[in-house]
Amino acid sequence: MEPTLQAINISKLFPGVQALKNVSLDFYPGEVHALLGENGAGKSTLIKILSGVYTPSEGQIILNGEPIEFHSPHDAIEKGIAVIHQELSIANDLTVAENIFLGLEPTKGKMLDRAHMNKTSQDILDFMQVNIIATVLARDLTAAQQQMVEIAKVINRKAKVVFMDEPTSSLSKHEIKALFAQINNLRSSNVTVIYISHRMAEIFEMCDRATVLRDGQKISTRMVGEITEGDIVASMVGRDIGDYYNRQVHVRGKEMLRVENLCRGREFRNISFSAYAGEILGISGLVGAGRTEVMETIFGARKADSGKVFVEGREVKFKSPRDAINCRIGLVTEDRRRTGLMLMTTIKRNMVLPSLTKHKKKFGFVNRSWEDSVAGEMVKKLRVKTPSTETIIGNLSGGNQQKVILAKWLVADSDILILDEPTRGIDVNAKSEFYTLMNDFVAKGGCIIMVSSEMPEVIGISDRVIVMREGLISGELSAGEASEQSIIELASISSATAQES
Amino acid sequence: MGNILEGLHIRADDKLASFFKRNIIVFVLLLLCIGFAIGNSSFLKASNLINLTTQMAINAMLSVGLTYVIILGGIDISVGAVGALSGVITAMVCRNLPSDIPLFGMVAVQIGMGLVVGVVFGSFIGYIIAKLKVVPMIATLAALTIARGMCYIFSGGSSVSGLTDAYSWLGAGRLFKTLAKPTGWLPIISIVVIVFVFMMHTLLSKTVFGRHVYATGSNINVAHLAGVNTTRITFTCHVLCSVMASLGGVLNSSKLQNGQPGAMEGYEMFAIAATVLGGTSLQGGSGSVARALIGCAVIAVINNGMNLMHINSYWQKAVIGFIILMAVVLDMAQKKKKA
Repeated sequence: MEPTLQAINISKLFPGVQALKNVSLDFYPGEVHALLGENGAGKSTLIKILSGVYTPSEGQIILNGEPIEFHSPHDAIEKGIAVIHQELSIANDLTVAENIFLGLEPTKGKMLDRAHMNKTSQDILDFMQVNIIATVLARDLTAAQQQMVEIAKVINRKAKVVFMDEPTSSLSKHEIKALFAQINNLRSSNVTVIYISHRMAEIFEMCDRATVLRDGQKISTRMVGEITEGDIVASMVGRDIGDYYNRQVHVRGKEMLRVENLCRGREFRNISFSAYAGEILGISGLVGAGRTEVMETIFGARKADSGKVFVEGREVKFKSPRDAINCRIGLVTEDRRRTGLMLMTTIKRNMVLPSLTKHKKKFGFVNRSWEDSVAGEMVKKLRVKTPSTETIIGNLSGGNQQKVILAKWLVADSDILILDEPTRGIDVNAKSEFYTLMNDFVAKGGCIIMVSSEMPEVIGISDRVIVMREGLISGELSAGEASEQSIIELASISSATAQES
Repeated sequence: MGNILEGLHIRADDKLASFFKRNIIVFVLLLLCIGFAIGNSSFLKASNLINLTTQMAINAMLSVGLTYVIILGGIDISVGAVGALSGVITAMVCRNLPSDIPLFGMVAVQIGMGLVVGVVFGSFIGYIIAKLKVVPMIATLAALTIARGMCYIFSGGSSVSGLTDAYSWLGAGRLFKTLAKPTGWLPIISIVVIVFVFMMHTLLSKTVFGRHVYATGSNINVAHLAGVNTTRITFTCHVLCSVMASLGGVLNSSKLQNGQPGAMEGYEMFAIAATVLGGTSLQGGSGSVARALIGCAVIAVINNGMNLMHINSYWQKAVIGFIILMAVVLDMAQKKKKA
């Protein structure tokens, strides 16, 4: 069989950085091909080259046996290459059908042929067996449904090669299943799917072959059936990671935080739990179970309808995050770019922001010598890889950015740290380092509440796990009891309804 | 790891280029001065240069306040109208003062009125934007119209005149009178402006409040979650902006020795231009008061130079408009590159 798309000795040079070095890859029709690698390994550069965003510095792209040059992303789309980005490119105010036909609107004379557009769209959606009506507005769909619309778009364009970048990152288990059914559909109609994901289980479930990139070079392409997760991780990192979570025995101390019957609208109800000094409390559950909302409410960023929060035994009523910070609580949010960082600002200024008021000098002047020394100290202590504390934080890797955010709350003298998806989108090495920092914090008597959707992480590092489902706490597990199986049972909707009936 | 360090390495190579880019406005200013100096021998005369500082004084007041608001990612297009309103009100109040009021008393009333009008009007704008969350462009467009309307209502449509010489001391007076120059060398308005610019620059660059302004403009979510009261910061910045505009209006009215309801028409454009030319990004998060001052200088030099070269004032307007457009396009292009 002839490959649909071939990359031959592709190299890409950015000023001073070789992002790709002699990468050769074949993609066959009807194949689901996993593209793996740490952040910065060159995955996204490769995708951008193969979809017409960048032109390669060297090498050749061959489509259906003929050498080809893409002059623009639009050019690539016309030649049958489609990319479904992690952040979906759905126009919220257009209908589903309008989205599916965006850029290819059918016309009758000079006028838009809306009837044809709606009918074809509905046919595609029906063929996909998804329950979406072509004439509703895209904004009324769930994230998972919008993803289905993206796939319908691909089908409508008769794309031959589809790149999917972390397609499951915001989907629930159930929705992932539906997505996989669609990928299988594409596979059976001989479309090549190139699948990028950090979730190993998905790779093994869906993919035929897997290519690992590291430092801009291709390390291996193997049949998925012939390899193990360990093989993949080892070739991604280039070494054995050993005890990845660096689990330690913590000594549980006094109660730091107690929440009683916290409720907020439809987001969550009757949330009661305690967190102690010297422990990492994991909060698990599906995306949308209300975990982030509970944490933001405790932190004072959202207002509770009812319920009580106690810090070190004293009841507190936080009107804003300022009050929570004064009670030595820190919140690392799940979305670094949107709510974690001032991207165009220096490391130092990001790090000291919550503590400026506390350390101000007379007349409200910034204490510059304090901020210089504390920022320098933290960069050294947390081993942030940067030439100086004056570096713009947007230039750091995800892992180092996350360290700076952690440092921000250490500078603020936090006793209680709420970490929401703390290792999302950071590479394996950085994760391991981050776990070590978490353990250090707890060993010194700190209290960590960690919300995470990555089950191995929750199991690997938590001293205790609380599971949430649909806005309620569905159970609590000790470190010994926590396993993928026990957590899924508490987290998933189907098993819960089965128990109730 | 390798990638990061390599990435940083190129930035070091680019240092010179980035220094040039960051300070391009200074080079532009120098080039303009050289150009006009060659084109007209009287450009570099001391009297013309002093003239220049008075010409940029009022724009400096407006753009300094505007810098705060633009760093927040907002805008205030009402500054010209607020200045005019403050000029009219101050003139009306001072016209009713006893004619033998000492100079000190007159100045105190003028500055006091400027502050009062600025705080009142700024609180109004600030409340609408910070609390009611109205888009700044629309809120200040409405405020502009309201302020301009009030100018005509209070003044009855005609210029408020009949003011004493003491009234014009602040805006038109000069110190260091010599035989060669009996009117004096040092314009008082320039001193006043320098004092305010210095205070506003210090407030923005050296205090916790200033840092909170930058933080709010960089990422309002992050600032809020770091305990910054972003509503209060937004409110305060709009008050500061209106106060500076209002004081600018008092200076303008003092300089002209009257209170004109139609004064300072279109000044908001010059102020926005100066701020953006000074490198304050319209997208918020970065900027500086001192640099806005350089932007003011550029605009003043262009105006002054064109005057000396007898270029039609209608053309001058078009030229300034074109410069604003270029500054904004450059700003956008730079942001796009970084993203």
